[in-house]
Amino acid sequence: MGMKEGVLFAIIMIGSLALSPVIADRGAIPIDDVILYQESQIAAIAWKDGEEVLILSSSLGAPRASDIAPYQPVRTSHARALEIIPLPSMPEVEEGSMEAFSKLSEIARIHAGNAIGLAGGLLDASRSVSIVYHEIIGLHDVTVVKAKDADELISWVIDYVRGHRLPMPSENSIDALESRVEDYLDEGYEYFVFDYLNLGSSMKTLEPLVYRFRSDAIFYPLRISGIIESYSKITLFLITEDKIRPESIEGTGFEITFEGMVDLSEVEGADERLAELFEGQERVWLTTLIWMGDLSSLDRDLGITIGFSLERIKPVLVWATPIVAAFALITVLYVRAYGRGSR
Amino acid sequence: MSVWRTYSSMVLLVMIGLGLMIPSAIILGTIILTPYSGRAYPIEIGAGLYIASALMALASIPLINKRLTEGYALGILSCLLAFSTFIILLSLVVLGMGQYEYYNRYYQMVMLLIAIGGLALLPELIISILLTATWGESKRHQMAEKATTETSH
Repeated sequence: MGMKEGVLFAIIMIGSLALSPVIADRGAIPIDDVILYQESQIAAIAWKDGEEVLILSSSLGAPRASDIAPYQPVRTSHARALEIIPLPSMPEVEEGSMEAFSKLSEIARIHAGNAIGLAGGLLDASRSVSIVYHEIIGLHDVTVVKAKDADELISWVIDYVRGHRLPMPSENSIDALESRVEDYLDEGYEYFVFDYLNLGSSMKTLEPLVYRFRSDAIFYPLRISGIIESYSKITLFLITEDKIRPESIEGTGFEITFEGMVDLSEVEGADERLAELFEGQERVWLTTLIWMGDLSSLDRDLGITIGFSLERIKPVLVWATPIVAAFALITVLYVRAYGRGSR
Repeated sequence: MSVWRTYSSMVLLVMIGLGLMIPSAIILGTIILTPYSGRAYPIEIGAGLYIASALMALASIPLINKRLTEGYALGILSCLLAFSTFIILLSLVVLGMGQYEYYNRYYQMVMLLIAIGGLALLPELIISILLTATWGESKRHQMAEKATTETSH
Protein backbone atom coordinates (compact mmCIF):
# COMPACT_ATOMS: atom_id res chain seq x y z
CA MET A 1 0.00 0.00 0.00
CA GLY A 2 1.39 3.41 -0.87
CA MET A 3 1.01 6.83 0.66
CA LYS A 4 -2.33 8.31 -0.26
CA GLU A 5 -2.00 12.02 -0.84
CA GLY A 6 -4.19 14.67 -2.35
CA VAL A 7 -7.30 12.72 -1.65
CA LEU A 8 -10.12 13.49 -4.04
CA PHE A 9 -13.63 12.72 -2.98
CA ALA A 10 -16.54 12.67 -5.34
CA ILE A 11 -19.81 12.85 -3.55
CA ILE A 12 -22.87 11.66 -5.29
CA MET A 13 -26.18 12.46 -3.81
CA ILE A 14 -29.19 10.67 -5.09
CA GLY A 15 -32.66 11.94 -4.65
CA SER A 16 -35.87 10.48 -5.83
CA LEU A 17 -39.42 11.69 -6.15
CA ALA A 18 -41.97 9.86 -4.14
CA LEU A 19 -45.03 10.40 -2.03
CA SER A 20 -43.25 9.49 1.15
CA PRO A 21 -40.93 11.94 2.79
CA VAL A 22 -37.21 11.68 2.44
CA ILE A 23 -34.10 13.46 3.47
CA ALA A 24 -30.66 12.33 2.71
CA ASP A 25 -28.04 10.73 4.71
CA ARG A 26 -24.79 10.34 2.79
CA GLY A 27 -23.60 7.06 1.42
CA ALA A 28 -20.36 6.75 -0.48
CA ILE A 29 -18.45 4.29 -2.62
CA PRO A 30 -14.68 4.48 -2.96
CA ILE A 31 -13.37 5.00 -6.48
CA ASP A 32 -9.80 4.16 -5.63
CA ASP A 33 -8.68 1.04 -3.85
CA VAL A 34 -9.13 2.55 -0.40
CA ILE A 35 -11.28 1.95 2.63
CA LEU A 36 -13.68 4.81 3.21
CA TYR A 37 -14.78 5.76 6.62
CA GLN A 38 -17.27 8.29 7.81
CA GLU A 39 -16.59 9.71 11.21
CA SER A 40 -19.87 11.49 11.61
CA GLN A 41 -22.92 13.03 9.99
CA ILE A 42 -24.73 16.05 11.29
CA ALA A 43 -27.98 17.49 10.02
CA ALA A 44 -30.53 20.14 10.93
CA ILE A 45 -34.02 19.50 9.65
CA ALA A 46 -36.97 21.89 9.68
CA TRP A 47 -40.29 20.43 8.56
CA LYS A 48 -43.77 21.88 8.28
CA ASP A 49 -46.78 20.97 6.18
CA GLY A 50 -44.87 18.71 3.84
CA GLU A 51 -41.98 21.05 3.24
CA GLU A 52 -38.56 20.13 4.51
CA VAL A 53 -35.34 22.11 4.82
CA LEU A 54 -32.28 19.94 5.41
CA ILE A 55 -28.83 21.20 6.23
CA LEU A 56 -26.47 18.24 6.02
CA SER A 57 -22.77 17.76 6.54
CA SER A 58 -20.51 14.78 7.07
CA SER A 59 -16.92 14.01 8.01
CA LEU A 60 -15.60 11.65 5.37
CA GLY A 61 -12.10 10.30 4.81
CA ALA A 62 -9.90 7.43 3.81
CA PRO A 63 -7.10 6.19 6.04
CA ARG A 64 -3.66 6.95 4.72
CA ALA A 65 -1.80 3.86 3.58
CA SER A 66 0.85 4.56 6.20
CA ASP A 67 -1.84 4.23 8.85
CA ILE A 68 -2.74 0.76 7.62
CA ALA A 69 0.62 -0.68 6.53
CA PRO A 70 3.39 1.63 7.71
CA TYR A 71 6.19 -0.65 6.52
CA GLN A 72 4.91 -1.06 2.99
CA PRO A 73 6.56 0.83 0.17
CA VAL A 74 5.02 4.22 -0.37
CA ARG A 75 2.87 4.54 -3.48
CA THR A 76 1.44 7.97 -4.17
CA SER A 77 -2.14 7.96 -5.33
CA HIS A 78 -5.49 9.55 -4.67
CA ALA A 79 -8.40 8.38 -2.57
CA ARG A 80 -11.58 9.33 -4.29
CA ALA A 81 -15.16 8.46 -3.59
CA LEU A 82 -18.68 8.89 -4.79
CA GLU A 83 -21.12 10.00 -2.11
CA ILE A 84 -24.84 9.48 -2.45
CA ILE A 85 -27.99 10.96 -0.95
CA PRO A 86 -31.55 9.98 -1.86
CA LEU A 87 -34.30 12.61 -1.64
CA PRO A 88 -38.04 12.21 -2.15
CA SER A 89 -38.59 15.11 -4.50
CA MET A 90 -36.69 17.54 -6.70
CA PRO A 91 -34.63 19.59 -4.27
CA GLU A 92 -33.42 23.14 -4.29
CA VAL A 93 -29.77 23.11 -3.24
CA GLU A 94 -27.92 25.92 -1.54
CA GLU A 95 -24.76 26.36 0.43
CA GLY A 96 -25.05 26.00 4.16
CA SER A 97 -22.90 26.79 7.13
CA MET A 98 -21.47 24.70 9.93
CA GLU A 99 -22.38 27.56 12.24
CA ALA A 100 -26.01 26.42 12.20
CA PHE A 101 -25.10 23.19 13.99
CA SER A 102 -23.04 24.83 16.71
CA LYS A 103 -25.81 27.36 17.33
CA LEU A 104 -28.51 24.67 17.49
CA SER A 105 -26.33 22.62 19.78
CA GLU A 106 -25.88 25.68 21.99
CA ILE A 107 -29.66 26.32 22.00
CA ALA A 108 -30.27 22.72 23.06
CA ARG A 109 -27.52 22.96 25.67
CA ILE A 110 -28.97 26.14 27.14
CA HIS A 111 -32.51 24.76 27.19
CA ALA A 112 -31.58 21.33 28.41
CA GLY A 113 -28.94 22.40 30.85
CA ASN A 114 -26.68 19.70 29.52
CA ALA A 115 -24.24 19.69 26.59
CA ILE A 116 -24.90 17.56 23.51
CA GLY A 117 -21.79 16.16 21.98
CA LEU A 118 -22.00 16.84 18.84
CA ALA A 119 -26.84 18.57 -5.23
CA GLY A 120 -27.85 21.54 -15.80
CA GLY A 121 -30.43 21.08 -17.69
CA LEU A 122 -29.00 18.52 -20.18
CA LEU A 123 -31.45 15.87 -21.20
CA ASP A 124 -30.41 12.57 -22.73
CA ALA A 125 -33.66 11.25 -24.19
CA SER A 126 -32.07 7.97 -25.20
CA ARG A 127 -31.63 6.95 -21.58
CA SER A 128 -33.86 6.78 -18.57
CA VAL A 129 -31.44 9.05 -16.73
CA SER A 130 -31.60 12.79 -17.22
CA ILE A 131 -29.70 15.64 -15.61
CA VAL A 132 -32.17 18.11 -14.20
CA TYR A 133 -29.84 20.39 -12.29
CA HIS A 134 -26.13 21.15 -12.13
CA GLU A 135 -24.30 23.77 -10.14
CA ILE A 136 -20.98 24.29 -8.39
CA ILE A 137 -21.51 25.40 -4.80
CA GLY A 138 -18.22 26.00 -3.04
CA LEU A 139 -16.35 22.70 -2.95
CA HIS A 140 -19.45 20.88 -4.10
CA ASP A 141 -20.07 20.10 -7.76
CA VAL A 142 -23.73 19.25 -7.55
CA THR A 143 -25.66 17.36 -10.23
CA VAL A 144 -29.28 16.27 -9.81
CA VAL A 145 -30.40 13.50 -12.11
CA LYS A 146 -33.76 11.83 -12.66
CA ALA A 147 -33.63 8.09 -13.13
CA LYS A 148 -36.08 5.22 -13.55
CA ASP A 149 -33.78 2.27 -13.98
CA ALA A 150 -30.94 1.15 -11.71
CA ASP A 151 -28.80 -0.23 -14.54
CA GLU A 152 -29.16 3.00 -16.46
CA LEU A 153 -28.26 5.02 -13.40
CA ILE A 154 -25.19 2.90 -12.70
CA SER A 155 -24.18 3.30 -16.34
CA TRP A 156 -24.61 7.04 -15.89
CA VAL A 157 -22.43 6.94 -12.77
CA ILE A 158 -19.73 5.04 -14.66
CA ASP A 159 -19.89 7.58 -17.49
CA TYR A 160 -19.76 10.35 -14.91
CA VAL A 161 -16.64 8.88 -13.35
CA ARG A 162 -15.05 8.43 -16.79
CA GLY A 163 -16.06 11.98 -17.71
CA HIS A 164 -14.16 13.24 -14.71
CA ARG A 165 -11.15 11.07 -15.68
CA LEU A 166 -11.41 9.10 -12.46
CA PRO A 167 -10.54 5.43 -12.02
CA MET A 168 -13.46 3.01 -11.91
CA PRO A 169 -14.84 2.18 -8.44
CA SER A 170 -14.46 -1.43 -7.40
CA GLU A 171 -17.10 -3.96 -8.50
CA ASN A 172 -18.13 -4.50 -4.91
CA SER A 173 -18.81 -0.81 -4.47
CA ILE A 174 -20.78 -0.63 -7.72
CA ASP A 175 -22.81 -3.72 -6.71
CA ALA A 176 -23.54 -2.26 -3.27
CA LEU A 177 -24.63 1.01 -4.82
CA GLU A 178 -26.81 -0.73 -7.44
CA SER A 179 -28.53 -2.77 -4.78
CA ARG A 180 -29.43 0.30 -2.73
CA VAL A 181 -30.44 2.31 -5.80
CA GLU A 182 -32.74 -0.52 -6.94
CA ASP A 183 -34.45 -0.43 -3.57
CA TYR A 184 -35.01 3.30 -3.79
CA LEU A 185 -36.25 3.12 -7.39
CA ASP A 186 -38.63 0.29 -6.46
CA GLU A 187 -40.07 2.56 -3.80
CA GLY A 188 -40.64 5.35 -6.31
CA TYR A 189 -37.63 7.54 -5.75
CA GLU A 190 -36.54 9.00 -9.09
CA TYR A 191 -34.33 11.97 -8.32
CA PHE A 192 -30.65 11.42 -7.61
CA VAL A 193 -28.16 14.06 -6.64
CA PHE A 194 -24.41 13.70 -7.27
CA ASP A 195 -21.94 15.83 -5.40
CA TYR A 196 -18.32 15.72 -6.57
CA LEU A 197 -15.81 16.97 -4.03
CA ASN A 198 -12.11 17.57 -4.13
CA LEU A 199 -10.68 17.07 -0.66
CA GLY A 200 -7.33 16.69 1.02
CA SER A 201 -5.83 13.54 2.39
CA SER A 202 -7.08 14.02 5.94
CA MET A 203 -10.52 13.65 7.44
CA LYS A 204 -12.64 16.66 6.49
CA THR A 205 -15.92 17.94 7.74
CA LEU A 206 -17.66 19.10 4.60
CA GLU A 207 -19.41 22.44 4.51
CA PRO A 208 -23.07 21.59 4.56
CA LEU A 209 -25.50 21.88 1.69
CA VAL A 210 -29.06 23.03 2.20
CA TYR A 211 -31.78 21.00 0.48
CA ARG A 212 -35.37 22.16 0.26
CA PHE A 213 -37.94 19.69 -1.00
CA ARG A 214 -41.47 18.38 -0.51
CA SER A 215 -41.98 15.52 1.85
CA ASP A 216 -44.98 14.06 3.65
CA ALA A 217 -42.93 13.56 6.79
CA ILE A 218 -39.50 14.25 8.11
CA PHE A 219 -37.30 11.89 6.12
CA TYR A 220 -33.66 11.06 6.53
CA PRO A 221 -32.40 8.31 4.19
CA LEU A 222 -30.14 6.02 6.11
CA ARG A 223 -29.99 2.92 3.89
CA ILE A 224 -27.76 4.67 1.36
CA SER A 225 -25.16 5.08 4.11
CA GLY A 226 -25.07 1.32 4.42
CA ILE A 227 -22.69 1.09 1.49
CA ILE A 228 -19.96 2.44 3.76
CA GLU A 229 -18.59 0.04 6.30
CA SER A 230 -17.63 2.42 9.04
CA TYR A 231 -18.48 3.17 12.64
CA SER A 232 -20.12 6.56 12.65
CA LYS A 233 -22.19 9.01 14.63
CA ILE A 234 -25.25 10.75 13.22
CA THR A 235 -26.63 13.85 14.92
CA LEU A 236 -29.95 15.29 13.82
CA PHE A 237 -31.49 18.57 14.94
CA LEU A 238 -35.20 18.53 14.16
CA ILE A 239 -37.19 21.77 14.17
CA THR A 240 -40.90 21.12 14.11
CA GLU A 241 -44.13 22.79 15.17
CA ASP A 242 -45.07 19.86 17.40
CA LYS A 243 -43.35 17.04 19.26
CA ILE A 244 -42.13 14.16 17.14
CA ARG A 245 -43.97 10.85 17.58
CA PRO A 246 -41.62 8.44 19.40
CA GLU A 247 -43.00 5.41 17.52
CA SER A 248 -41.73 6.92 14.24
CA ILE A 249 -38.14 6.37 15.40
CA GLU A 250 -38.93 2.99 16.94
CA GLY A 251 -36.29 0.41 16.07
CA THR A 252 -34.03 2.86 14.23
CA GLY A 253 -31.48 3.07 16.99
CA PHE A 254 -31.82 6.84 17.25
CA GLU A 255 -32.06 8.22 20.71
CA ILE A 256 -33.67 11.48 21.75
CA THR A 257 -31.16 13.43 23.78
CA PHE A 258 -33.02 16.74 23.88
CA GLU A 259 -36.57 17.78 23.31
CA GLY A 260 -37.95 21.19 24.17
CA MET A 261 -39.61 24.38 22.98
CA VAL A 262 -37.27 27.14 21.85
CA ASP A 263 -37.84 30.65 20.53
CA LEU A 264 -38.08 30.83 16.73
CA SER A 265 -35.64 33.75 16.89
CA GLU A 266 -33.04 31.39 18.31
CA VAL A 267 -33.49 29.01 15.36
CA GLU A 268 -33.37 32.02 13.02
CA GLY A 269 -30.02 32.88 14.57
CA ALA A 270 -28.72 29.44 13.68
CA ASP A 271 -29.94 29.55 10.06
CA GLU A 272 -32.85 31.68 8.90
CA ARG A 273 -33.81 29.07 6.26
CA LEU A 274 -34.71 26.72 9.07
CA ALA A 275 -37.01 29.31 10.57
CA GLU A 276 -38.69 30.39 7.31
CA LEU A 277 -41.19 27.53 7.49
CA PHE A 278 -42.52 28.70 10.81
CA GLU A 279 -43.32 32.32 10.02
CA GLY A 280 -45.86 33.70 12.47
CA GLN A 281 -44.96 31.29 15.23
CA GLU A 282 -43.06 32.41 18.29
CA ARG A 283 -41.86 29.06 19.58
CA VAL A 284 -40.98 25.76 17.90
CA TRP A 285 -39.92 22.30 19.08
CA LEU A 286 -36.24 21.45 18.89
CA THR A 287 -35.42 17.74 19.12
CA THR A 288 -31.95 16.29 19.06
CA LEU A 289 -31.49 12.71 17.86
CA ILE A 290 -28.24 10.79 18.05
CA TRP A 291 -27.31 7.46 16.46
CA MET A 292 -24.02 5.64 16.83
CA GLY A 293 -23.04 2.41 15.16
CA ASP A 294 -21.85 0.64 12.05
CA LEU A 295 -23.24 2.38 8.96
CA SER A 296 -23.52 -0.95 7.15
CA SER A 297 -26.15 -1.97 9.70
CA LEU A 298 -28.52 0.77 8.47
CA ASP A 299 -31.29 -0.95 6.56
CA ARG A 300 -34.15 1.53 6.64
CA ASP A 301 -34.72 5.26 6.25
CA LEU A 302 -36.09 7.64 8.81
CA GLY A 303 -39.63 8.81 8.28
CA ILE A 304 -40.52 10.85 11.32
CA THR A 305 -43.99 12.16 11.96
CA ILE A 306 -45.17 14.72 14.48
CA GLY A 307 -48.22 15.09 16.66
CA PHE A 308 -50.07 13.31 19.43
CA SER A 309 -48.72 9.95 20.47
CA LEU A 310 -50.00 7.32 22.87
CA GLU A 311 -46.38 6.37 23.46
CA ARG A 312 -46.00 9.51 25.53
CA ILE A 313 -48.90 8.56 27.79
CA LYS A 314 -47.96 4.90 28.27
CA PRO A 315 -45.08 5.54 30.71
CA VAL A 316 -47.35 7.69 32.88
CA LEU A 317 -50.03 4.98 32.85
CA VAL A 318 -47.45 2.35 33.75
CA TRP A 319 -46.22 4.04 36.90
CA ALA A 320 -49.41 5.80 37.90
CA THR A 321 -51.75 2.77 37.69
CA PRO A 322 -50.41 0.86 40.74
CA ILE A 323 -50.22 4.04 42.79
CA VAL A 324 -53.81 5.03 41.93
CA ALA A 325 -54.94 1.45 42.62
CA ALA A 326 -53.22 1.57 46.01
CA PHE A 327 -54.93 4.84 46.87
CA ALA A 328 -58.29 3.35 45.86
CA LEU A 329 -57.73 0.25 48.01
CA ILE A 330 -56.64 2.32 50.99
CA THR A 331 -59.70 4.55 50.60
CA VAL A 332 -62.06 1.55 50.43
CA LEU A 333 -60.51 -0.07 53.51
CA TYR A 334 -60.56 3.17 55.50
CA VAL A 335 -64.18 3.82 54.58
CA ARG A 336 -65.04 0.26 55.55
CA ALA A 337 -63.07 0.35 58.82
CA TYR A 338 -64.25 3.74 60.02
CA GLY A 339 -67.74 3.27 58.60
CA ARG A 340 -68.14 0.15 60.72
CA GLY A 341 -66.63 1.93 63.69
CA SER A 342 -69.16 4.78 63.49
CA ARG A 343 -72.16 2.44 63.43
CA MET B 1 -47.29 -10.37 73.77
CA SER B 2 -49.88 -9.10 71.29
CA VAL B 3 -48.94 -5.48 72.06
CA TRP B 4 -45.26 -6.22 71.44
CA ARG B 5 -46.10 -7.86 68.12
CA THR B 6 -48.37 -4.99 67.10
CA TYR B 7 -45.83 -2.26 67.83
CA SER B 8 -42.98 -4.23 66.23
CA SER B 9 -44.99 -4.71 63.06
CA MET B 10 -45.90 -0.99 63.05
CA VAL B 11 -42.24 0.03 63.35
CA LEU B 12 -41.26 -2.40 60.61
CA LEU B 13 -44.08 -1.13 58.40
CA VAL B 14 -42.80 2.44 58.80
CA MET B 15 -39.32 1.20 57.91
CA ILE B 16 -40.31 -0.62 54.72
CA GLY B 17 -42.79 2.14 53.88
CA LEU B 18 -40.11 4.83 53.91
CA GLY B 19 -37.41 2.45 52.67
CA LEU B 20 -39.40 1.62 49.57
CA MET B 21 -41.01 5.01 49.07
CA ILE B 22 -38.00 7.37 49.10
CA PRO B 23 -35.60 5.64 46.65
CA SER B 24 -38.46 4.56 44.37
CA ALA B 25 -39.82 8.11 44.24
CA ILE B 26 -36.34 9.47 43.42
CA ILE B 27 -35.85 6.87 40.65
CA LEU B 28 -39.33 7.49 39.25
CA GLY B 29 -38.77 11.25 39.35
CA THR B 30 -35.49 10.85 37.47
CA ILE B 31 -37.17 8.71 34.81
CA ILE B 32 -40.06 11.13 34.41
CA LEU B 33 -37.64 14.04 33.93
CA THR B 34 -35.69 12.10 31.28
CA PRO B 35 -36.56 13.62 27.83
CA TYR B 36 -37.76 10.32 26.43
CA SER B 37 -38.38 7.62 28.97
CA GLY B 38 -40.66 5.44 26.85
CA ARG B 39 -38.24 2.51 27.04
CA ALA B 40 -37.96 2.40 30.81
CA TYR B 41 -41.17 0.51 31.48
CA PRO B 42 -39.63 -2.07 33.85
CA ILE B 43 -38.29 0.71 36.02
CA GLU B 44 -41.52 2.67 35.88
CA ILE B 45 -43.67 -0.31 36.80
CA GLY B 46 -41.17 -1.46 39.47
CA ALA B 47 -40.94 1.95 41.11
CA GLY B 48 -44.70 2.46 40.79
CA LEU B 49 -45.44 -0.85 42.52
CA TYR B 50 -42.93 -0.20 45.28
CA ILE B 51 -44.49 3.22 45.91
CA ALA B 52 -47.96 1.62 45.96
CA SER B 53 -46.68 -0.96 48.42
CA ALA B 54 -45.09 1.72 50.59
CA LEU B 55 -48.32 3.74 50.61
CA MET B 56 -50.26 0.68 51.73
CA ALA B 57 -47.72 -0.10 54.46
CA LEU B 58 -47.85 3.44 55.84
CA ALA B 59 -51.63 3.64 55.54
CA SER B 60 -52.05 0.39 57.45
CA ILE B 61 -50.36 1.71 60.60
CA PRO B 62 -53.28 3.79 62.00
CA LEU B 63 -55.65 0.87 61.33
CA ILE B 64 -53.33 -1.66 63.01
CA ASN B 65 -52.99 0.70 65.95
CA LYS B 66 -56.75 0.43 66.38
CA ARG B 67 -56.56 -3.36 65.98
CA LEU B 68 -58.81 -3.17 62.89
CA THR B 69 -58.95 -6.15 60.53
CA GLU B 70 -58.47 -3.83 57.50
CA GLY B 71 -55.14 -2.73 58.97
CA TYR B 72 -53.79 -6.27 59.19
CA ALA B 73 -55.03 -7.00 55.66
CA LEU B 74 -53.47 -3.80 54.27
CA GLY B 75 -50.15 -4.49 56.03
CA ILE B 76 -49.94 -8.06 54.75
CA LEU B 77 -51.00 -6.97 51.21
CA SER B 78 -48.27 -4.33 51.14
CA CYS B 79 -45.67 -6.99 52.04
CA LEU B 80 -47.00 -9.36 49.38
CA LEU B 81 -46.99 -6.58 46.74
CA ALA B 82 -43.40 -5.56 47.55
CA PHE B 83 -42.31 -9.21 47.45
CA SER B 84 -44.11 -9.77 44.10
CA THR B 85 -42.51 -6.64 42.63
CA PHE B 86 -39.08 -7.88 43.69
CA ILE B 87 -39.76 -11.22 41.98
CA ILE B 88 -41.07 -9.46 38.81
CA LEU B 89 -37.98 -7.25 38.54
CA LEU B 90 -35.66 -10.17 39.23
CA SER B 91 -37.42 -12.25 36.59
CA LEU B 92 -37.11 -9.46 34.00
CA VAL B 93 -33.37 -9.25 34.57
CA VAL B 94 -32.89 -13.03 34.58
CA LEU B 95 -34.98 -13.32 31.40
CA GLY B 96 -32.51 -11.03 29.65
CA MET B 97 -34.12 -7.65 29.91
CA GLY B 98 -30.66 -6.08 30.08
CA GLN B 99 -29.61 -7.40 26.70
CA TYR B 100 -31.49 -4.62 24.92
CA GLU B 101 -29.53 -1.47 24.31
CA TYR B 102 -32.19 0.87 25.55
CA TYR B 103 -32.32 -0.84 28.86
CA ASN B 104 -28.60 -0.50 29.47
CA ARG B 105 -28.94 3.16 30.35
CA TYR B 106 -31.32 2.23 33.09
CA TYR B 107 -29.70 -1.02 34.15
CA GLN B 108 -28.27 0.48 37.33
CA MET B 109 -31.69 1.79 38.29
CA VAL B 110 -33.23 -1.67 37.85
CA MET B 111 -30.46 -3.21 39.95
CA LEU B 112 -31.01 -0.57 42.63
CA LEU B 113 -34.73 -1.37 42.71
CA ILE B 114 -33.91 -5.07 43.04
CA ALA B 115 -31.49 -4.32 45.88
CA ILE B 116 -34.12 -2.27 47.68
CA GLY B 117 -36.67 -5.05 47.26
CA GLY B 118 -34.12 -7.62 48.44
CA LEU B 119 -33.32 -5.65 51.60
CA ALA B 120 -37.00 -5.39 52.37
CA LEU B 121 -37.57 -9.15 52.11
CA LEU B 122 -36.72 -9.98 55.71
CA PRO B 123 -38.79 -7.17 57.26
CA GLU B 124 -41.67 -8.18 54.95
CA LEU B 125 -41.46 -11.77 56.20
CA ILE B 126 -41.33 -10.69 59.84
CA ILE B 127 -44.21 -8.22 59.38
CA SER B 128 -46.33 -10.88 57.68
CA ILE B 129 -45.74 -13.36 60.49
CA LEU B 130 -46.34 -10.78 63.23
CA LEU B 131 -49.49 -9.41 61.61
CA THR B 132 -50.90 -12.86 60.86
CA ALA B 133 -50.26 -13.96 64.44
CA THR B 134 -51.72 -10.78 65.89
CA TRP B 135 -54.71 -10.93 63.55
CA GLY B 136 -55.32 -14.57 64.49
CA GLU B 137 -55.00 -13.81 68.17
CA SER B 138 -57.31 -10.84 67.79
CA LYS B 139 -59.89 -13.04 66.07
CA ARG B 140 -59.67 -15.68 68.78
CA HIS B 141 -60.00 -12.97 71.41
CA GLN B 142 -63.08 -11.53 69.68
CA MET B 143 -64.66 -14.97 69.39
CA ALA B 144 -63.94 -15.70 73.06
CA GLU B 145 -65.48 -12.36 74.02
CA LYS B 146 -68.53 -13.10 71.90
CA ALA B 147 -68.90 -16.53 73.48
CA THR B 148 -68.56 -15.05 76.98
CA THR B 149 -71.18 -12.43 76.18
CA GLU B 150 -73.62 -15.03 74.81
CA THR B 151 -73.05 -17.27 77.86
CA SER B 152 -73.72 -14.44 80.30
CA HIS B 153 -77.00 -13.65 78.53
